[in-house]
Amino acid sequence: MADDEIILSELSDDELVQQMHDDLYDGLKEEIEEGTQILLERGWAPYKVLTEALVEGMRIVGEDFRDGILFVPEVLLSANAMKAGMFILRPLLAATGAPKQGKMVIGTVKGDIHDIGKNLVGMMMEGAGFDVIDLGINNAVEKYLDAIEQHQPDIIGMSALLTTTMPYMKVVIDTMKEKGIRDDYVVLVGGAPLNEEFGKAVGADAYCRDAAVAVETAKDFMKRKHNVRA
Amino acid sequence: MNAPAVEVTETAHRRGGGRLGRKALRSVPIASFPTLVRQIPAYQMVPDEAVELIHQESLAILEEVGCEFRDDGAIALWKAAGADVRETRVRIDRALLMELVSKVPSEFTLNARNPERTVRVGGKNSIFVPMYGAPYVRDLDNNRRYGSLADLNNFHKLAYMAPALHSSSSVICEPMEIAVPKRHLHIIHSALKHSDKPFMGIVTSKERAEDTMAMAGIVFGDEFVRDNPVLVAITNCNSPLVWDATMIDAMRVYASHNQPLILAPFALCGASTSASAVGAVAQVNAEALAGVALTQLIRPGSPQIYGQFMVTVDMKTGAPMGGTPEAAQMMYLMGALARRYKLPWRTSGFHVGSKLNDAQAGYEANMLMHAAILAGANYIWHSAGWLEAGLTCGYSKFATDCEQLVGWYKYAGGLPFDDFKEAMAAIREVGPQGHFLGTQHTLEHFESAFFMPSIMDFNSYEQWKAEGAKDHDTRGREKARNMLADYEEPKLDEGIADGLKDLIARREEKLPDSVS
Ligand code: B12
Repeated sequence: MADDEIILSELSDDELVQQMHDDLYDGLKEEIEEGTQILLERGWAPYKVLTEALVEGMRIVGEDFRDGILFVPEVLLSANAMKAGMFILRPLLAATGAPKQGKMVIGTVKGDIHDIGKNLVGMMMEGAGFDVIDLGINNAVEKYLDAIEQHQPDIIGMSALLTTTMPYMKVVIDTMKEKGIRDDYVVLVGGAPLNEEFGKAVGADAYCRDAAVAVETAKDFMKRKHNVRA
Repeated sequence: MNAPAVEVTETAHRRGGGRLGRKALRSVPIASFPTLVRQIPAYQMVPDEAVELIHQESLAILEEVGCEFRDDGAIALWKAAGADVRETRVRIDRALLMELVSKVPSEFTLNARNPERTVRVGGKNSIFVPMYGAPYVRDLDNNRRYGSLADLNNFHKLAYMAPALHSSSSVICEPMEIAVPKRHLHIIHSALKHSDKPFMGIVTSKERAEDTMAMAGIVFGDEFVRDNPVLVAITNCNSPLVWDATMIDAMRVYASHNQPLILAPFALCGASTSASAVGAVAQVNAEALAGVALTQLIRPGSPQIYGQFMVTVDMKTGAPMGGTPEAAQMMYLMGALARRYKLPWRTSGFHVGSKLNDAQAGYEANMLMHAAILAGANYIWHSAGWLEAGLTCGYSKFATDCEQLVGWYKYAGGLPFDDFKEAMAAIREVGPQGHFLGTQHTLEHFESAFFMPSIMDFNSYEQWKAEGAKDHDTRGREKARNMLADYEEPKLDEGIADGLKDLIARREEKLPDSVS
């Protein structure tokens, strides 16, 4: 836990970044906001603040979540702190033309109301610095298409927990193909009854078994995207 | 158990009996136990005042927060009944709520296509029902794969053969190879063909619920299924506090036919309720009562099953757990509330998080079934096959569960005193130092006195080793395999069988091959 006596602005850059990693770990939103401001005031590029202070901090959180040291409610708190930092950085990142962390549209497919897992994925993605547009539950293909048009995301995420609604993922992907836009986006699918094979069969880019894998996979695709552009 | 087999009496010049006779006697399949009438008291874990406190809090939730009913028809019913309705939010005052809840019969008869398998649900009457909804199976060769129609047929066969199972459920596992729009027809057909026990309805759309009723009509007569329960269907509240259109559609189809619904929120406690066992019960009780009340607006006096399926959430992943002590404690609370409302109630028995039929599965299953029995549950669901929080149905687990149910049936049936005198005579007969294995009393009673499971192994180490040193999981699979080899299909009137096939063919012509 952060020591009450600490005054963030008196720390050196290195110490402050270390402290911000700890504060993210502990889900301290206001401290993260303050730390982000201080680094910016010291002339740090927004992209450097994002990657070295926030994303790196959340990487540690993600690791300990994966290893069963941190629990879901704690990770959500961390993700919230991260989001608060992102909120400050987002306009600055856009203005400086920094590489985008990525944007995701996520929703549960038509006929399905299961959303606990989808929500978790959404929050973890936000925690990793992604912009997340959550379409909620019971989404027909038009909803995805509208959201794609409106938000221009990098990634489309679909969730289904019912064997009777899983096939609808293919409806969405096939429609994207018909419109000739399938290859412009990365499509990730998830939900407990799915598996790798099913993901391939419906034409998704990847199936992710949990939120942590979803974040890793999304980051991977973003990295590749940047490499292609570079 | 009826008279032994024909082969004994065939050879008229012999007295019969002997090895063949005994074998026949022991292998007569017991088709089914009657309804379990619990002869042990229900255990109440908290004082009456605590039950009352939870009850009051549930009523307050429905009055102050209200519950969402996302369906125009339901909203119209609530308005007409005088509830406080704002858009889809319905606030129900306690007098209206309790008046509606009081219309539900405290017991009802659930008819089977074979009248000998007809059961009672409610009061002291309990039934065991196998699992529902598994996309995967852990098969006879111990592989995990998507379920198929052949698997579903097998599970219905096993359900038919298991004496302590009182229902065939319906979608024990998903027949994944069948197109979704047509799948429900084959699920219901499999249950009706391979077993003659009560079954469960499909709820994933109004159309599928109507198809289920049409098939039930062919088997029982359209007239009969308009008023007499022949199936049970599950409608889930989307906790917290939302009843959605899909579920309400199904509710209307079944309740209007007087077919009981299960109004028992499946809550991931900590995610879809507060992280408090007592708080979760207050919420789930409110949701269940709101659902029960709606069914009484659809058809007053229709039989319903109140209850819960509450599991705790694994805070490491968000996944549902099985077999936790809190899940058991919450059952006791819901049982006490059910008795307060005089409602039949449902819980789940052998549901576990384990991937395999292993020690984890055993501990989890036992923790929950013990609670289900002592809490006095009436519809004890997920009592066979359940693994991986419902993602998988295992053959080995199914066989083990069926066998263990025989033990629980006996446990809940209470302690018989009818041979007490003879037992006392036996101790006088033997006196100090002797043994009882040869007494008349033992000879007469040994077969029924103590539970004799066959999958559990109590042999000597050497014997066990000589038989291949098989673990429990392997023995369970062997048991399932052997049962299936012995299966004989129950009789089904030819006209009915054809009628079902015709209906399926007609519907399949109309229904599309893929979802859209
Ligand atoms: C909780 C639950 C419910 C709740 C849902 C509450 C809610 N707000 O979501 C309620 C009670 C409402 C419900 C209703 C129903 N359910 Co349900 N439900 C479950 C249950 C127990 C757990 C699901 C869950 O939340 N898991 C926890 C989360 C954290 O895990 P997760 O969802 O798998 O998500 C993780 C990964 O899969 C992945 N992921 C998920 N989505 C995505 C998306 C992307 C893009 C990515 C990358 C990753 C990803 O990351 C997540 C986080 O790690 C499952 C059983 C199970 N073991 O999964 C049954 C289950 C899915 N339900 C089932 C059924 C049958 C139903 C009902 C039809 C029952 C009924 N008759 O009423 C209804 C359907 C309602 C509808 N129209 O959709 C069946 C489905 C199987 C089948 N045969 O199709 C299951 C398997 C249980 C069973 N055996 O019956 N259910």
